[in-house]
Amino acid sequence: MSQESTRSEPAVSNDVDVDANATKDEDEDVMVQVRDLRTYYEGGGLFGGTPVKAVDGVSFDIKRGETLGLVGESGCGKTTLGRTLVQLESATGGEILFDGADATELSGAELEEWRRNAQIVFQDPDSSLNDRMTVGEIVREPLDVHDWKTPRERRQRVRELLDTVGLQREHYYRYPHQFSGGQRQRIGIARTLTLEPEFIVLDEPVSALDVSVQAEVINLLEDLQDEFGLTYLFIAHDLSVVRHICDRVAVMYLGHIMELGPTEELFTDPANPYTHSLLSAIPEPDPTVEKERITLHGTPPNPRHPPDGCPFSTRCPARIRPDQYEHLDNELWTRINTLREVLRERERADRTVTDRIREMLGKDPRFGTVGEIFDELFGDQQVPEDVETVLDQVADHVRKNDEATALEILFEAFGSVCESEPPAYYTVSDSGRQSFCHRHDEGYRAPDRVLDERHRQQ
Amino acid sequence: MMSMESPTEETTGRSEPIITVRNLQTAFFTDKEVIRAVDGVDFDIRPSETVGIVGESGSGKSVTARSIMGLVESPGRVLNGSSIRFQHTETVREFARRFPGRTVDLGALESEYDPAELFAHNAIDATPEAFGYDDASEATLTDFVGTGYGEALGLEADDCVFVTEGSTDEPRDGFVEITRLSGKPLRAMRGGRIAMVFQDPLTSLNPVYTVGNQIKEALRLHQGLSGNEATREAVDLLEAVGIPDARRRVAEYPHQFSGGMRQRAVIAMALACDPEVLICDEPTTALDVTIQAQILDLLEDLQAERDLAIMFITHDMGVIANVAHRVNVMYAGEIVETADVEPLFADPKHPYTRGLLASIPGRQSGDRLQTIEGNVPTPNEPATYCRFAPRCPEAFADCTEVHPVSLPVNDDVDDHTAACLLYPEDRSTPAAVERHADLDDSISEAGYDDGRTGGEDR
Repeated sequence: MSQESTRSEPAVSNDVDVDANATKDEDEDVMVQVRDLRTYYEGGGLFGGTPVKAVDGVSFDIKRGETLGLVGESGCGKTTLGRTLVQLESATGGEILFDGADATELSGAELEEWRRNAQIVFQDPDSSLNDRMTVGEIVREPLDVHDWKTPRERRQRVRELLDTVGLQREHYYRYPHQFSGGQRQRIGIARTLTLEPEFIVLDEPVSALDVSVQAEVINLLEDLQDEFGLTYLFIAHDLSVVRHICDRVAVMYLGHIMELGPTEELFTDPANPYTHSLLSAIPEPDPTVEKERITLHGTPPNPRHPPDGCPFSTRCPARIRPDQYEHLDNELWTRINTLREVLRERERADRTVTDRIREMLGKDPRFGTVGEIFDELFGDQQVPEDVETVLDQVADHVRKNDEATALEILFEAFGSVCESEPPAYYTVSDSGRQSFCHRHDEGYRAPDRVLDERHRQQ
Repeated sequence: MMSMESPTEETTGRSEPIITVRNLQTAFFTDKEVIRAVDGVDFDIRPSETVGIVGESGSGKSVTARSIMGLVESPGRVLNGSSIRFQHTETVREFARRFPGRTVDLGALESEYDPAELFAHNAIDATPEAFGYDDASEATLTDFVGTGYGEALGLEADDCVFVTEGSTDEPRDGFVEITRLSGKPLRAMRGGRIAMVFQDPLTSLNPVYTVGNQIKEALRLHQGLSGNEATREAVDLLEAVGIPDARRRVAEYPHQFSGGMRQRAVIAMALACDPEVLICDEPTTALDVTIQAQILDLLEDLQAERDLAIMFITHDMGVIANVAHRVNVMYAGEIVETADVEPLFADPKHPYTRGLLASIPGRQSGDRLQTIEGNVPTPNEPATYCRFAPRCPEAFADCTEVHPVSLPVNDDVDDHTAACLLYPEDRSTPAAVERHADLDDSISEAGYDDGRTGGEDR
């Protein structure tokens, strides 16, 4: 395994790749260019504090007329990204180029004018429609705001739109509560269409709907795209819906895009370990399929304190391991990871005065003793001697409530490039699919081979 | 664990059911109408088996679960004629000891009444068919006491523990009738013997108490534990559901837990009293796929460890295919199809099940998703015809005339039933229709005329 340690420079660096993409503008009709976009939410405190990095350096293109899918777990920043694209949130850094013009720079009248062109459909049709307005008023509101033609023509337009989205013209005077979930989502879609936008962000438009209703709304969205030549950014956490409707998919994790490429290719032959795990977690509606599920341990890290290296390094099933420990038992590795998570949480958790006093008095402390944790984690494990020595050192520091040093020791022994340096984007297929993972570097084995070995052989 | 005999039990190699639901009807009485949310539902739950209930929103899944838990609130109530039997000898013994005044020896009653003659009784409007028999002589006293006709037999209103073998002091066999429970025995059953996990972990946890406190509450109420002993038990439970560093976690508040951890905590709470049956009402719907996979794994492990009988409610066909052994498909308050999970997915019979499976993206070929036109109707009248007929692609004239009952789909299988006039499929359609019509006439007279004292002789 000597090649594992010979690290070479990334074949494609982040910036180079972005430029390479940008120069392709001539042959492909790119509509939206997003470059190194960042959206941070500042801590509300007096001194600012650490910001939540909801979107942290994202670059991609959306071509005219295509549907780009954006998937990821809750809290990964996909909704924030969608809202930033239509300027409902203001970007902290980076640019969003709509046909060459930067939308983040717009303000006042220009912004209002631009908004005609970029619309959003919200997830929950219950809360995104005003219950006190009739359907007609709701759908007409954007026309009123933008002072579109005469009131008479506006009403006419609304009736046509209701027809377009599969509702009755008579529904104009009804109220939202008289409609079912699917119909309400149709009203929401009609509202976004009023000003004939070219670009629509669909923020989980079918997540709140039943499966048969969901199918109807998806069919409607596809029909509308064909009819009006719309460009969609489709945000979802349901991967089977994404596979059906999207041309290309971006997989997001903790503010970063982990993999971006054509849908079918990404689903059948994922490159990034996170995409692998996400796909393997979808329950197939077929009981006979014995799926090799890669169960991820733990939860995504707090976006206020993201890991230093790769965002996925804390849970990655294909994480690069130091040579000497490469062949440690998988279970033992899981336990070591859990230990690290526990220590990280403890480092951030506040000890109240009572906790400290209880600890000093040796009275049933709230923070369980180190012995207990180690028993729970490693009691039933065969721990090799060299690992044991490291763990003992860690235990010593934890006993002194010095989690920081304990974590350092853990990192020195078991850490790797994954935890220390953010990876670069590597192009992993002829179609230009990109993946954000150290494993694509020549010096390491590819993620799928590692996953096969570690998780699929049993 | 189970040692009872039941004459109706087929030799399927399955263990005896721990919960038997027969003709369950739960209705909500509003000023405007009577909504029959659950309308004549039959199914069994067995130890170490997972029974899945699927259906769209509004199909009555959750009300079925709440009826079993005794959580139906005014204006809703479980109608006469419904029976939910909890057949667990240990529980019967404990309940007979704790509530001797509410325990009845069925053997003694049997010497007084002849079941076959009871159909002629003035206060009883049931028919043999409603209990699933062809002939009155097959009926047992159990059928009557369980279905709300106990008063006619001279039972007191609060009798709920029935002994079928042995005496009331020394019961060897029997059951607890959940529909007759109230007060103390109801509270002992709910939480102690049957526990429930709700959809949204955040709303099922109280934000102002620590997680440990809430688990300890259950331990205090059901097992009389308190103080350090309870804390230790709570820590053990959190560890059992895979929460690391449980000693610290037990003193934290729900907002300090992530979504997946919260659901684990809720499951720990449900397991606090070592229940026999766990009802999971969409436990993973609010979670991400990777976390959902963790929770499904956890439930599987817990079931294997504790012989839990699980009733799993979801609208996600993918999840049902993964967790359930047996599946009930619900539509508008009725079970329209029942089968083991493999045959149901391989060869769905009821047009509704087929439509449901076909509308999942990725299951069909072609660009457009198949849909089921229309919406789930609100069942506000007794069913006089098939409730699915208006949306059914295969509906024919008789479908709006005859109400189908659950029948085996063909003569070869008896554990795959569908409530559709097309079945049994080895009979000609007119013959099948006739059989449905025959069976339904007798059932509807018995079951739906709630409140009417049926005096007709039979």
